[in-house]
Amino acid sequence: MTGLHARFSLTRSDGFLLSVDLDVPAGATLALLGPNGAGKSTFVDAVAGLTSIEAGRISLGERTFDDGTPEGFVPPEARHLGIVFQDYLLFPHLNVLENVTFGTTNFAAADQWLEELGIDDLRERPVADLSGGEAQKVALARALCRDPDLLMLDEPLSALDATSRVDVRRGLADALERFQGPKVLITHDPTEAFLLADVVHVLEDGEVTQAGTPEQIRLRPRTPYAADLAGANLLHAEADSGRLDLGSSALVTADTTVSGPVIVTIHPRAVSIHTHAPDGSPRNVWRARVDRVENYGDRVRLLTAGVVEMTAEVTPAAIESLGIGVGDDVWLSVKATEVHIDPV
Amino acid sequence: MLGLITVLAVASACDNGSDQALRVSAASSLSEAFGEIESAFERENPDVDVVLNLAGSSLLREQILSGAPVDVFASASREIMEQISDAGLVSGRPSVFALNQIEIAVPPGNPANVTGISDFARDDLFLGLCEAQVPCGILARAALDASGVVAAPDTNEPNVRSLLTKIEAGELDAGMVYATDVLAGEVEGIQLPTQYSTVAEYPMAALADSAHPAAATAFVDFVLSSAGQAILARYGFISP
Amino acid sequence: MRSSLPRWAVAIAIVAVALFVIPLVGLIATTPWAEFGSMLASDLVLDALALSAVASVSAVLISAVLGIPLAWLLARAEFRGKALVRGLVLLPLVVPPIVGGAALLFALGRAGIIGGPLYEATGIVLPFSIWGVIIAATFVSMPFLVITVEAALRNIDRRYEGAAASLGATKSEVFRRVTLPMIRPSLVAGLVLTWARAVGEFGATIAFAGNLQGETQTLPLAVFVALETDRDAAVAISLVMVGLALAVLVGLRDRWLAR
Repeated sequence: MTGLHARFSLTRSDGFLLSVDLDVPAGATLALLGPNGAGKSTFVDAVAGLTSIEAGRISLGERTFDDGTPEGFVPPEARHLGIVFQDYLLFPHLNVLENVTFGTTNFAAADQWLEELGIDDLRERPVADLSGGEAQKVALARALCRDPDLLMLDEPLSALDATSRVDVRRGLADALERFQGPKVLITHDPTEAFLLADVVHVLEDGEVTQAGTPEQIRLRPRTPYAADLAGANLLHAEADSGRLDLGSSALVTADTTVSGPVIVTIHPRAVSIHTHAPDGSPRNVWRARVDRVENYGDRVRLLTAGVVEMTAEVTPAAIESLGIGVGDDVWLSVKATEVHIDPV
Repeated sequence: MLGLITVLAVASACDNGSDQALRVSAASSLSEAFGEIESAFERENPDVDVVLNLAGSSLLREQILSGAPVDVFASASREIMEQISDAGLVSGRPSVFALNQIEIAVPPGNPANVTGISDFARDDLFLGLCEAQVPCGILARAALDASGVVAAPDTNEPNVRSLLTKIEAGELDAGMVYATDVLAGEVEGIQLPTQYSTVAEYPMAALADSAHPAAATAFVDFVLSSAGQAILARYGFISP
Repeated sequence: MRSSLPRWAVAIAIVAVALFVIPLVGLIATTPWAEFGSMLASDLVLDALALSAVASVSAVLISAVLGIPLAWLLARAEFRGKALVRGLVLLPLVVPPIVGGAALLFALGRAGIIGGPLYEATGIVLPFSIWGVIIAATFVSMPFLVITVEAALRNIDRRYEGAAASLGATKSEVFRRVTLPMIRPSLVAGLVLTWARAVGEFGATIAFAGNLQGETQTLPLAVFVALETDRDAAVAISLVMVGLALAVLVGLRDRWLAR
C-alpha cells in the first residue's frame, strides 16, 4: 500500500552504473548490504532525490518520485523522507534542538523524540560537542520528528566505536520497530544487516547479487563476497563470564567481560574439521553431519547440522585429504579466541 | 615618497646610450606642444635626448622640492615657479615663454545653450571647474570673481584633462579650461569678454642642480626662439 | 610565543611586514600633531568622512545583494560562457580604476548609452552625486566578495545541502539556512575586504562621480586634493583613514573570524 518500490538504473558522472530492483513493504526493513564503492550511497541519493535516475521508477505508495523523465522528478524537499545520512550531517552552526526541528514546526514531536531517545538534556548543546552515539540519536530524532513516509539509515553505526555501537544499535532497533512505514538500512556490516533487517539485498559493484532473508543469505551465500562477509555463523546465546549457554549446548569464549543475551559470531574459517575426535580437550568440540558442500573454487564451504547449525570453510585440498562428502559424520572444533560475542 | 617615485620614473625613462638625457618637467597642458618641441630640438641637437615628465604643475613642484633630478621646469603657474625659485633651485631667472587664456568649453553642439560666464551660477546645469588650488582653477575663479558670478560647480576636477574629458563626454554642460585645451579637445569654446579674461603665464627655467646646464639653457632658448614660439602658437598658446 | 617555522620564513615575513609598516611610520612621523585635532574637525574632513562611511557601507550592501547570488551561480551552475563571466568579474581588479571610472561615465553618465535613456526617462543623473560614488566603489570592490564567496561555496561539503533538502528545505531555504551559515567566516572576510577596497577607492570615483566637497569628495579624494596644496592636511586625513581601517579590520577579525 505505502511501500517503497525502487526499480531503476543510473550512470554516475564517473561512469559507474547502478541498477537495482527492490520493494520494501510498509513496516518491513530492507538492508542493502555491500562493500565500499558498491553504490550504496548512490542508491540513497536516488531515493532521496539528490540525483535523478535514467530509467525505471522510484515510488512510495501511490506517489512516483522519479521515472527517468524531468517531468516525473520530484525534488528532495517534496519527498517527505526521513534519512539518517552517513556521518549524520548535523548542521554545525545549529544546536541540537535547532537541528532536530530544522525540517518541522512540530515542536511537540521534536520534544517527544528527544525524550524517547534519551537526549532531552542535550537540546541546547552545540553539535560539535556531541559524542558519536549522541550525534546518531540527534540525526535519528531529526529524521523521525517530521513523521516521514519512509525511514532510510545510511551506515548509522559505522561512525561509532565498538562499545557505543551496542547501545546505539539497541536504540535503533527500537526505533525501527516502532516506525510504521518502509525502512531501508544501508550497511557494510553483515551483523547489523542480519540483526535489524527482514530482507537483505547484497549490492556488489552496482548490482544486487543476492536477495533474501538474513538466514538465506547466511546459509546460501551466492557470491564470494556474500560468503565472506555474510556467511558468518550467528548464534543466540546467554553469556556468563565466558560461558555461552545455547540452550541445548554450550560454548566457551575468551571474552569474559559480557553477560546477558548475546549474538555469537564465528567465522567459517575459524571452524576446524576432523574425521576423529581431536586430541587433548578443547572445550568447543562437537559432532556434526555434513549436509551440503559448496565449492567456490579456491575454498569449500561445508554446511553442517548437529547441536547447532554451523558453516565451516576449508581449502579444496583439505577436503580431498580428509575424504569428506555429504552425509559424513565429522568432528568440529573452534578456539575460544575465535568465538566473538556482541551484547543484544 | 613622491620624490622616490619620480626618481624611479625618470631613471627608467632615460637609459638609452651615451646621449645626454635632458629631463624636462612640464605642465600637462603643454603635453602636445612640448612633444613637438622635443622632436624639433632633438633634430637640432642630436646628442641630446629630451625626456619629458608631464604632470600637473603642483605635482611637479612637489617632485622638484623632494629632490627629483630635473634639468628644466616649465610651469603653468607663475606662483609655482616662484616657489621653486625661492627655494634656490633655479639657475638664472625664469622666463615667461607662453600665455594661455581661460575659456568656457562646452560639449559639441552646446546642448545646454551656454552663452557666457553668468551661466556658471545656474543650479540646473552641470558645471565643472578645476580644483581651486591648481592653476586652471585659480584662473577660472579669478575670472568668476571679476565678473561677479557666484559659481555653482558640480565637480572640482583635479586637473584640466579630467575636466575636459567630462565635458567631451557631454556629462558636464560647461567648464572653464585653457584656450589650448579647447583647441586640442573635442569641445567648443566660448571666449570670455576681455574685461573678465584671465591669462596664465607659463614660466620656464633651467634648474640649478642640472647635470647638463648647457643643454638645459639651450632647450630654454629654443622654446623662446621663433621656431619654438611657432610650435606653441599652433597649439593655441599666445606669445608673451 | 615560540615560532616553529624555519628562520628564513620568519625573516622573509618580517621584511613583508616592514613593507606595510614603513609607509605608516613615514605618515606618523610627518603628522602635524599640534594642529591634528583642528584639522580633523574641519568641514572638509568631516564631510569626506561622512561620505566615505555612507558610500563604503552602501557598496558593501549592494555587493552582498548582487555578488552573493552571482558567486552561487558561478560555484554551482553549469552554463555556457561561465569562464567569460568569471573573467568579467575579475576585470575591475585588473583594469586601472581610473579607466573603470571613465568606462562607467561613458555607460552610466547622463550622455551614456545606459545613463542617457535613464536620464530621459527619469531625470536621474548618476555622476556628480553620491550614487556615482557608491556605484564606483561597488564596481571596484564587489569582485573581492564574489571571489571569496565562490571559493568558499566550492569548498563546503555539499552533502549538508542534500540533508537539508531531504528535510524539506527548498533550494533557496537551503542556501539561506545552511549554505550561507556554513561559509560565514569566508563571507565575513569577503565583506571586510570589500569594505576596505571601497573605503580606499579613488580613481573610479574621481573619473565617474567627480569631486565636490559634501557631495562626492570621499576621504581619498580629499587626500589627493590636499596633497597638492596642503601636505599637512593630506597627512592628517591619511592617518584618519589608516586608523579607521585598522580599527575596523582588527576589530572585525577578532569578533567574527575567530570562531
